[in-house]
Amino acid sequence: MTSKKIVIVGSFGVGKTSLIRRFVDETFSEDYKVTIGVHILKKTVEIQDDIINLIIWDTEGTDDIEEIRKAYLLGTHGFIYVTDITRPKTYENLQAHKTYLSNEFGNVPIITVGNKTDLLAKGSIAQKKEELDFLDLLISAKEGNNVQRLFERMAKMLIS
Amino acid sequence: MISDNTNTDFVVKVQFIAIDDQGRIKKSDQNLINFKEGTLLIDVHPFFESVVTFFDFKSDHIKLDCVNMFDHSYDIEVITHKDNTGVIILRDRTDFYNRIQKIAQKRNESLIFNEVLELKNNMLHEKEAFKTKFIQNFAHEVRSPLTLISAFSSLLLKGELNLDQTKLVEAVNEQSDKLRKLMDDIIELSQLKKGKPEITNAPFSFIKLIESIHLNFSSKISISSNIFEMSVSPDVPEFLIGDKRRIEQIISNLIENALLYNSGNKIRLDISENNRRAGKSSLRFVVHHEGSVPEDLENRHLVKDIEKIEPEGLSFSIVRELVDLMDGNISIKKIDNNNTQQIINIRVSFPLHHIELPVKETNTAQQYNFTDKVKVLIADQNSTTQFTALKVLVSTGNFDTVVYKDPRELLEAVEKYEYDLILISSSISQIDAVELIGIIKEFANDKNKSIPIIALTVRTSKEDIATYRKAGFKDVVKKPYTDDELLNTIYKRLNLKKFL
Repeated sequence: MTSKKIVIVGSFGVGKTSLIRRFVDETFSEDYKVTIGVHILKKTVEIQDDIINLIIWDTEGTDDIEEIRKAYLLGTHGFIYVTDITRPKTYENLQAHKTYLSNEFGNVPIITVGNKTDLLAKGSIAQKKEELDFLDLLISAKEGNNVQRLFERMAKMLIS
Repeated sequence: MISDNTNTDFVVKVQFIAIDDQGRIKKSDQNLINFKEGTLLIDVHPFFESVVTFFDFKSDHIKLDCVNMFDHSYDIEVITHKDNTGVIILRDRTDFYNRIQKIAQKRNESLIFNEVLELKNNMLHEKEAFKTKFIQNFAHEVRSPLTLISAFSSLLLKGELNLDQTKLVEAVNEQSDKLRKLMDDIIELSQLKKGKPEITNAPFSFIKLIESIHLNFSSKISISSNIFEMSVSPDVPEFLIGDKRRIEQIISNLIENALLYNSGNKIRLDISENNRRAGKSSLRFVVHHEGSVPEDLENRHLVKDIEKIEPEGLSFSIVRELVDLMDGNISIKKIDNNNTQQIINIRVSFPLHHIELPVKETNTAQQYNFTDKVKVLIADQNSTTQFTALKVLVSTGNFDTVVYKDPRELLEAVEKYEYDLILISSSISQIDAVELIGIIKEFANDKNKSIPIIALTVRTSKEDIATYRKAGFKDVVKKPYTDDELLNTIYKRLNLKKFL
């Protein structure tokens, strides 16, 4: 059994904590509570014959990725960059932030996601997906859509 | 003074944990968390599962602030040694970080709220811009056939028609004029809502204007067996400096409203002066009629959304905006015996000394018989307006015309052949007229550099006309135009002596 550290990054209010709660505890709360510092949670996943402990670090939201305390990122195996599809400001610097993470942490996998698909009008997800084609996955922490798939995709990338 | 030790800000509880070279808890002072000696660090909390990776047979000192575990927030130091042992120091800063959390909560909520507000605002602006663009495009599309109807019916009326035919064509002409006015109203209202009003300030005879209004409405109202009366106070200035067309629009709208809602047989307009101050006269217009007006008419000016304006209220909404621009006010009063008064006060400048007004140009184009024909190049991709211009020019017998739809062919023709005049529509094959004239001027030779070029366009705001003039257009003809409007402009810009 191996342990892998995954750090969730992104602007404030995009739903990083909600995403982890949905994945780890299968719960969701409408209340927004700002994260200060870092919360660490763990969930074991089984990918084919491998059992992996995902140690998930939920960081404080920030507009500038360089503001995240560097000590939090030591030994990171993968990043999940969360954006809010209803707030363009949360993905306007995505490319620059990805470049920063790649430069600082080498070939560590980065998955970019757009959260809150539940806020879209019915039938408009496909159109939004086209519009936000620079994101790897559209998810909903509230409804759980694509959440499991996201972490499984990350786990597969980490063991391959 | 000795500090208060009960203040938790200054009392930070600390716990030291010694780790052995196998990653087990060797010793802990248990000040904060009760750790069982001999327990594997990774079994304590997922956080430590990541921390064990720091132990790699090297000396290091890593600080991690605000790590949340066991419902507390800790500042943590991890000190590792070369023998793979180490020390972990926990400082409980829960109270401090709780306070930070409260501040951050307020800040983030406010930032998100503003962000969402800005997005909604942008969406509203986009919606408004789309609406304006739609109106402009719609107007553009309607103007082409309207140009043809106006120009051709006017041409027909100058020919020999029997009485029945004349009446039919007059009806077509009158309706196309109404349609033109309606289009102008829609465009005007969308401009006013966008905050781009165009008010001119030119001297004009106010007395002549109200005489003309009286004459027009007297005949119009008499058709329905009603009487139109007008009284003008002797102190009203003879001349004003302002926007004659807009003032006429305001007065006419009041009378038209009265005509629309009148249930009696008389409409009266009273014009008086409230006062004169600082070179401006405050004028009062009161239109009386029998019967009431719709209850919401007075408040229609409050409607900021064009969508919500009823067609019959379109002109009134424009008037309301114009009255605002003239520092005035508008009110509707119900008087006894079911009578209504529409009252408008506006402030308009007046000349302090006697002035000479410029001689007004006649609308009907002068008849010329040229000895040499004027060679005209028409550049227009719209077959309707192209045909209109062609027909108007050919009907005079004074012009030889050639039409181009392709900008490349047009440029070649300008270079190869000699023309006396070029008429260009707003855009040809996606190339804007301003851009096109720029290319023509850039490659002009001695033969063609001084050909007058006239724009035929729907874009006729002050800014648009200035842009056309600056680009090199000698004049601008507004679509839809009548035959007389087109010919008058052409004759004004041609060197007529050359052809007579």
